[in-house]
Amino acid sequence: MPGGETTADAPAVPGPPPLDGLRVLDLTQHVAGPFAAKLLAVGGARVIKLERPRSGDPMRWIGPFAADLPGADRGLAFLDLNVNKLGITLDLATASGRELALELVRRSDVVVESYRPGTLERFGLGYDALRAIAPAVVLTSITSFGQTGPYRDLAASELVLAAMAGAMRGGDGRLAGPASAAPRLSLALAGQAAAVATLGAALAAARHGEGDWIDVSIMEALAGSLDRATALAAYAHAGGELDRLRPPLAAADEPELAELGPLPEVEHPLLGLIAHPGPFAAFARTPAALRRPAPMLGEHNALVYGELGLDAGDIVALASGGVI
Amino acid sequence: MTGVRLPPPLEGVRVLDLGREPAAAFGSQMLADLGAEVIRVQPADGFADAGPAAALSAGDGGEGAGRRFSPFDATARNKLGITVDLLQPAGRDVLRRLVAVADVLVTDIDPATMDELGVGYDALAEVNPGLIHVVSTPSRAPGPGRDASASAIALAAQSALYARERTGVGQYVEVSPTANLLGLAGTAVLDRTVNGRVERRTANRDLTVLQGCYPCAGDDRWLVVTIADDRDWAGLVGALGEPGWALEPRFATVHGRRRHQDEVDERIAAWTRARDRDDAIARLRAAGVAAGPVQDDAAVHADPHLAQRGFFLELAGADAGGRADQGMPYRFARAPLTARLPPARLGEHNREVYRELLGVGEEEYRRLEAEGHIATERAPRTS
Repeated sequence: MPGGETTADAPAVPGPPPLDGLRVLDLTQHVAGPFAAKLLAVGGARVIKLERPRSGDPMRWIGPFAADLPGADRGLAFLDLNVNKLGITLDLATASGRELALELVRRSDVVVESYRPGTLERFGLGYDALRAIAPAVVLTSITSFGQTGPYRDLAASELVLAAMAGAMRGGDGRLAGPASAAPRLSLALAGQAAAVATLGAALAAARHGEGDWIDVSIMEALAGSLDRATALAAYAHAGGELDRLRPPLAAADEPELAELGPLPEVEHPLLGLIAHPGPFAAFARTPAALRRPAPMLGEHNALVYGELGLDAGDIVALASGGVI
Repeated sequence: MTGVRLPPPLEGVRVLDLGREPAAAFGSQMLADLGAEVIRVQPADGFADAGPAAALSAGDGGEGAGRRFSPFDATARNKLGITVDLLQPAGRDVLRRLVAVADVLVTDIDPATMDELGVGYDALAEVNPGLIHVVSTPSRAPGPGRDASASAIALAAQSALYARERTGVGQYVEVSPTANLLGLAGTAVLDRTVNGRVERRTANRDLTVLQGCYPCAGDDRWLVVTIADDRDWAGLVGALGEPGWALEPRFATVHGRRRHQDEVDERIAAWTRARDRDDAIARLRAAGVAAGPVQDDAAVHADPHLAQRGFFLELAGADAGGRADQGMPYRFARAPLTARLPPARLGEHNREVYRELLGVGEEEYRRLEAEGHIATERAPRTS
């Protein structure tokens, strides 16, 4: 919450954040997946975001930008979605890239990905391949429609998913037509649900040593909202016409930005201090906090690959070969 | 393949749900869906805030209309239901005994009120140092804010469980719906804090892509389309039959299309208005364009994709009638999540929880019943 204050008496020396020790490999791009991994990072997990060499996450190039000047490290959505993460580059389509990815999986509790269904398998990094080398790993796949079903391979956008999930409001024949929620809001909600499921599986894996593969559908996250849950229950009770029980048009689906209150800040090497939304919860004993800005492309290559035993020469060779 | 079947991930975790607002109850249901044993604790007058008694009647063929209430049902799946009156000392004693055997307590009562009643976090932590008390602060946040805070409650509880493995103790955790709604809109927050700008909505338009909602032939039939790049545009133009206007140079670039978006919208709408919605969507999809119907609740309920994925869960029980409830937005390959229990009716599990879990004897049980703690029928409204 704003400022990160708590009402309970916090200990004089707060402990490390709640998810301290959880290791996450973040293969996601765009919004929903990165938001899920960001929640884990804000909770204190060590999240390594893996991006393709040179261009990185396409979200780096989607505006708005700081001072409206486009640049790989100036996209505000990217900066928000990747705060607290370490950043490395790796080309998963190469043999060396796959080998390094498997090394990283071996050192991870959780892998989060948002490629189209089937892509990870084509890289040789599907759940069965991961499980063979890391039985306790939790793989979370976040896609538009999920890994199964007739819509699996359809192209989608946030607007298309909201429309199909019954999440557009005001579709009552009014002149303006149905409208969706604010941009990225629906995708972030799906990312939040993905983080909930992922953490559940990670808790279980820590207990019994067996991981799982979680198939998250953004369409279902929107179709499963509380508003729709309430409408469906009312329908069951009323025995009436389902379409008459459309949730009422919300007065405002937008957060009240006029009353932001104090926000935590992180120091970005290029942009200076940036104020971000605060953590999802205030933990009295193990406070979650914003610790580092979103990484620059490949910023932590030396650190992370160094941990795998690669030396400076190896890293230069991989970079020259376009692998990292 | 994916390995042996696993138990639900949160099996063995016990949660007390004292939520009065939908967000806390929905967040607790997320934990219940993941396998936690969630005990819904309500006052014996049940749905006192629920509005007119008429809203309680069931038309689904189920029984026990006075023990169920639809907004409550929406967030009571996979839970046990008990009643207790926390305004009486004996009721607070029951809460302390529940806390002694619980892992997580979820409340949305003002923490100061709980302190005054002697059941604030500090007092309860003395009973059970491992207790994780998640408090959702009150909020007028609209729809997405409630969903955001429901998920945040589930995340907070699980994060604190993870920390407890390391520290051996529980803690007090506060979740703010308003802060979590802001968290969903992080880009807008940064646009404000970095650029000093307040993001403005213009219907379904987006800063970076060309998209809109267009009327189709028939009554209240709409489709949506998103054009992200030149390839999508080529697909759209192809689906529209390469009309002359679309080939004009001013529409050839992202920049040009953005500048003339009103005209693009009118042209697309002219095409969709003359067409059956599903036929238009099929053409757009065949061209690789992101397009889909605006579905109402009935259409979502009948959606073949959701059905094939098993999204809807069949709820059945003595009182629940039978109905398809929206399920979870995730499938676990090895630990299948199901509707183990239909929505708990008021006090449905009083006997099981008081007698078996808390070890309350028959005599004390009758006394608690007489004192108004234990009930399975909602007291009729007098006003």
